Amino acid sequence: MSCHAFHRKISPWLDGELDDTEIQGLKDHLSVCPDCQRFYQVSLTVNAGMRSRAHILPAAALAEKVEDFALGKTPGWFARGFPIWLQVPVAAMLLIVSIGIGSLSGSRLSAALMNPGTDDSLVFVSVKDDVSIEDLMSGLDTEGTGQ
Amino acid sequence: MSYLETWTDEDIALKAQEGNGSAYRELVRRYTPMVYRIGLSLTGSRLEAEEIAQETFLKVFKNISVFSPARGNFKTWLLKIARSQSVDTFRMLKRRWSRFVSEDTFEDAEANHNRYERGSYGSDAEALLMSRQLGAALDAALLKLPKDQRLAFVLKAQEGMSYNEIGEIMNASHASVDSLIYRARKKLQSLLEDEI
Repeated sequence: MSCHAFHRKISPWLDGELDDTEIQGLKDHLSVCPDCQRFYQVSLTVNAGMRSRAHILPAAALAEKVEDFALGKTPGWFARGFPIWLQVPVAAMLLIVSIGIGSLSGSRLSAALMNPGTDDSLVFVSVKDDVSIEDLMSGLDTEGTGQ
Repeated sequence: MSYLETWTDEDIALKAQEGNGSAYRELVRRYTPMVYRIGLSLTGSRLEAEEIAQETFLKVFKNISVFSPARGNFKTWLLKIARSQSVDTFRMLKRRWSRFVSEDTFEDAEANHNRYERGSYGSDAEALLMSRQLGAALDAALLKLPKDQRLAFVLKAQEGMSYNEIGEIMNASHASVDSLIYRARKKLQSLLEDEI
């Protein structure tokens, strides 16, 4: 076997990928070939340097960052965690709550709440079946203006 | 401690297919460091390595439904995706470098490394300095390897994977992986001749 052929086998030998039957011949060659010895020594040192790189760790927050990035952008993730059948009632509830908040901030209601003894802000009317909306509005206007 | 810590990768991936958030988190916890390290070795940039990790897991989660343990293990499947993401990032970096950075970048890195001075340190400090010097030289030399040789060599020498696993990740035969790694070692020897 030529020197080049032995040289070629040093790499798989270092990687544990060489057949046992070939190892002894390679060892015998190494003991007499300075070129192959040099390649073997340099490769051993480089291997040690590469193995030390296996201890490199990313910043502690990277896993969390990856999680936020990947899960936040995965389609259907929120749907899986928050089913579609639940989204409609939740949206309806949010709408009702927002209407309620909007009403509470209205001046007439807040005035009524602030001055419960006066009837300036709210007019309570009882509507009879035979009264139209026009009659009701004109009646209110008359009451409000004193005419 | 999460109850998933004792589960195999494949069982956790199947759980993730059901939309289990803890399973996703466990996969991220297990494999973020490895994907980051490989990205760092391929690009030489911590920022790019973080981006590769993020994009890889985004693709993993988008495609988790197609993972099948019958077709291979989870780690190989994940690293195939990481490889594809690294190639994309590598291309992007190459474009960016050719546009904004001179070709001398790696030579600059080596020159910086050569500026270390030994001084009158004790033997431990000297050994540490030597190891740092070698580490810096190795970083620079790795980036000079063609990307296929670099990936194959990193997966073998850094991550301890077998030639068969590497072949599966790179869609290459056992003989091709052997050849890639041998050529990587030859090139590294010529680049590091003066350092070792």
